[in-house]
Amino acid sequence: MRALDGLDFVVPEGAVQALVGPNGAGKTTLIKILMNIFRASSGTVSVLGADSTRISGRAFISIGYVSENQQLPPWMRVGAFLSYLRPFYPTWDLQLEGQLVQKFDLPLDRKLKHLSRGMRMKAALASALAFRPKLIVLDEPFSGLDPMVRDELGNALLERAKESTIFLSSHDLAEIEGFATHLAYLDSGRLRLSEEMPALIARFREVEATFDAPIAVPSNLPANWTQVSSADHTLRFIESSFSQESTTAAVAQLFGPPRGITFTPMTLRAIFLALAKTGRRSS
Amino acid sequence: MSQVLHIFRKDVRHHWPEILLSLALLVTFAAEQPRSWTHETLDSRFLSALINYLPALLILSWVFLIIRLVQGESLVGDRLFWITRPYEWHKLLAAKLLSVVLFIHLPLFVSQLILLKIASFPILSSIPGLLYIHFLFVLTLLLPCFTIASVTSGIGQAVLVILAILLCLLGLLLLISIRPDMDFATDATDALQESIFLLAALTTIFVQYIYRRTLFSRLLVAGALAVIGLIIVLAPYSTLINREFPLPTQNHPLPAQLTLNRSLSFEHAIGKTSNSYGDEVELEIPFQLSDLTEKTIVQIRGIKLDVEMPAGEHWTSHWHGVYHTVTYARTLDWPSISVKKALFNRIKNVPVRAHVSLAMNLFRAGAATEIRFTGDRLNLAGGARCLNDLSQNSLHCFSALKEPEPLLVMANLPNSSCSVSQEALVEGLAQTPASYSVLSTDTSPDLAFSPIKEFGIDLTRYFVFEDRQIRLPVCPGTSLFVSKPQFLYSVRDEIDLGDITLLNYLPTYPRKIVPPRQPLSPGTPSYSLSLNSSRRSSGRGAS
Repeated sequence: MRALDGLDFVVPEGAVQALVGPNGAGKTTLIKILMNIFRASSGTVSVLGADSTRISGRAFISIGYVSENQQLPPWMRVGAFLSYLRPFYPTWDLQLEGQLVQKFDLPLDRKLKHLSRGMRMKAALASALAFRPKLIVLDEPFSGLDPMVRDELGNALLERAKESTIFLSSHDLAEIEGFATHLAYLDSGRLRLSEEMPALIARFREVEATFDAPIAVPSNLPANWTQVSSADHTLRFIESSFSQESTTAAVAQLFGPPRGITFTPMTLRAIFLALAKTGRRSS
Repeated sequence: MSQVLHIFRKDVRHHWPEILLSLALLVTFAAEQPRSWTHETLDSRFLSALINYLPALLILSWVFLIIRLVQGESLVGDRLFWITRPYEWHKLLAAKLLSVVLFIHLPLFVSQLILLKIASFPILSSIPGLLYIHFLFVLTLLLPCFTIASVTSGIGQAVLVILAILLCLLGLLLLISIRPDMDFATDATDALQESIFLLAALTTIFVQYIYRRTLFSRLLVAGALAVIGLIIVLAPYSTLINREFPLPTQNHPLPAQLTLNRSLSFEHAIGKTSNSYGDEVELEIPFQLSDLTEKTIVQIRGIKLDVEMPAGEHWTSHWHGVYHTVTYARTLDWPSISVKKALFNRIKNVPVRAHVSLAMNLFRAGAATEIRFTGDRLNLAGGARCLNDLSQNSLHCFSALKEPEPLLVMANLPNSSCSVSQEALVEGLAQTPASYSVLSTDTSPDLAFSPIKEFGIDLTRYFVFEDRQIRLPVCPGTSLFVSKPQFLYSVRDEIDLGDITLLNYLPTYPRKIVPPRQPLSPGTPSYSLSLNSSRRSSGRGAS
C-alpha cells in the first residue's frame, strides 16, 4: 500500500501553504518526508533547495518544525528548554523569545511534563519561532487546542508569515482560512488540488437553480459539478470551476433556461467537505 | 566542540542521580579493597553481603547510566524533538562518549591508580596495562550497552533485550551441557565471533546516529546474534580440537608414555558412597607415566572417553575442557572424566572397551631462580609480593594487573622446621617435589575492576598414589625454585585402555585405593631440588 502517490507541487517562498485532507490522507507522512524523519521509497523532495534526504543537523538552523505529538524532554523546565536550544541557533532572537514567552504566557519555571497540551504546543512553537526560521513546518498545530490557544498560535504565525515560508497541515479549516495563502488538498495519498487560496475560494460555488417545470438529472453532467441533487423544480450542485457565464450556460444547456439561479460563495470548510465527500464516493 | 559540551552539560544536569550513584558505588568499592586484601570480615552480615555484591551493583549502575545517557536523545522513534533540531550526529555521539569517559572510565582509572599506590605497586609502568583493561571494558560493557540503548526507546525495552540476551546465553549453557566440547573449543571460534559482534555493534551505533534506521539496526543486531549462535552450535569442534591438538610427530612427540595402570582401582565396599554430580558420575582413571622428561610440564586441556559396549553400541563423552597440570617427576596421574549416570549404571560392571583421548599443552620449565625464604615475605620477579600465611599453608600474594604466569615454583618440602598434618604422616607422600604451577600463554592483563590481583601460591605434594595433594607449610629457610615455563607445543594422545570395568574407577568416599601401598616416611623429602638440576633421591617407585 502506498501512503503517498503522484505528488507534485511547489510551495512558493513566502507562502503560507496549508495542507488539508481527511484522516489517513498522508499529511503527516508527507511532512515527515519533508523533514527527513521518514524516507520516501521513490521520488524526490527538495526543501530550501536541498534534497530532503539530506535534511539533518545544521539544516535545521533554518527550519522550525512543530508537530502535535512531538516529544519534548519532559524533565526540562520551559525556561531551561529555551535556554538549552538557544546555542544551537546562530539566529536565535532573545528579544523575540521574550515576546513569544510573554504572548503565550509561558510558565518558565514549570517542567514540560507538567504543562497542558496547549501550553506544550505553545512552548514548542516558541522554541521553533524564536530563531526566525526561513521555513516553518507545522503538523496539526491546532489539533485538540481550545479556541483561545488556537487564536494565539494563529496570530503568532501570522506575525512570522512576513519573513518565513510556512507549511502546515491542519484539520482546522476556519483557522487556516484566516491566514493561508496557498492550499493543497490530499486524499488517500494523492494530491487532489494545490492552488492559491483566493483562486480556490473563487472557483467553488454552491449553485441553486430553479425551473418552471420539474427536472430530472441526466447522467452526463459536467465533471466540475459535484453533489448534484434535484427536488421538483430545484437543482443544487457544487461548481468547482465557477464563472457566472459558463456555469449559467451549462445549466441552461442541460435543463433549459432557469427561472432563477444563485451562486453562494463557500467557506473553506464547505469546500473541504465537498471534496472529501466526492473523494470518498469515487474511492 | 561547543555543541558537544552543551549536550554534555545538559546530560550532567539530567542524569546527576545516576552519575552520583555510580560514583558512590565506585568510591565504596575502591575504599573497601584494601580491607579485602587482608581478608578482614565486617561485623555486619548485611554490609558483608552488600560488599560482596558491589561489583555487580557497580556494573548495573554503569549499564543503567549508559542506557539513560544514550536514550536521553533516543535514536528510536519519529516524535523526538531533537531529530528536527540542529544536532550534528557526531557531536551528539561525542557528547555521550564524553559522559561515559568522564563518569565511568576516568573515575575507575583514578581509583585503580590510587589502589596501585596504596598497594605500593608502580603506577607509571602499570598505565599501559590499565588502558588495556579499559579497552576490554569498552568491548564488554560500553559497546553492548551502547548498542542496546541505540535500538531501544526506553529503559524497560533495554532491560527486556538484556534479559532476552541472558536467556540466549542460558540456552547456550544448556547446549554446552549436552555438547561439552563447545565449552572446550569455543576459543577456536572466539576471534570470528568477536569480529562479528564488533562489526555489528559499531555498524548499529553509527547507522542509528547517522540515519536512525531502527528496523535495519535491530535486524542487524538480531542477525549478528543469530550468526554467532549458529557458529557456536554448528562449529566442527572435533575437527577444530584435532587441529589445535594434533597427533604426535617426530618434531612434536608425546611428552611421556601414558598407560592404564590396571593394578589400581577404587574399593567399592559396603558403606562407601560414590561421587556424582546431578545426572553424571565422575571417574578417575589411573595412568602410569613413564619417560616424562625432566623440566617438562604437561597441561592437560581436554579429555575424551570413548566406550565400545559389548552389543557394539558406542558412547562418547565428547571433549571436556580441563586444566590439569602434570609436572616432571610424577609417575601416576588420575585425570577425571564425567559419564552419564544412566549409562554408567547400565554398564558399570560389564567389561567395555575404552579409549581415552588427551589434549595437552607442553611447557618447559625455564632456568630456575633459587629464593631462600626468610622472614614472612617473598618478592617474585615482575613485582609480585607474597606474605606467608602459615595458618593456611599458603603464600598470600599480590601483583599489579595480572597474576604472574606462566609460573612454576618448586620446593624441598616438608621442611623439618614446620610440622606436617597428621594426614600426610598417615598416608605418606609420593616421590615428587612440592610444587605450584600456573600455565598460560596469555600475558595480557585480566579484565577486572581492581588492578591488584590476589592469588595464592600453594606448594603441594602428592600422596603416595598421586591422586590427591596436600598443601605444605613454607617455613623460613626453605629454598624456593622459581622458574618461568615456556610453551612448547600442543599435542594429542589417543590411548587404548583395552577392556575395563568402569566401576573400578569410580572414587568412593572415604577414598580407598586397592591394592594399598606402604606409605613412605614423611619426615624427609624423598625428592631433592637444586638450582641446576633435579634428581631423585632414594625411595620406592610407583607401581
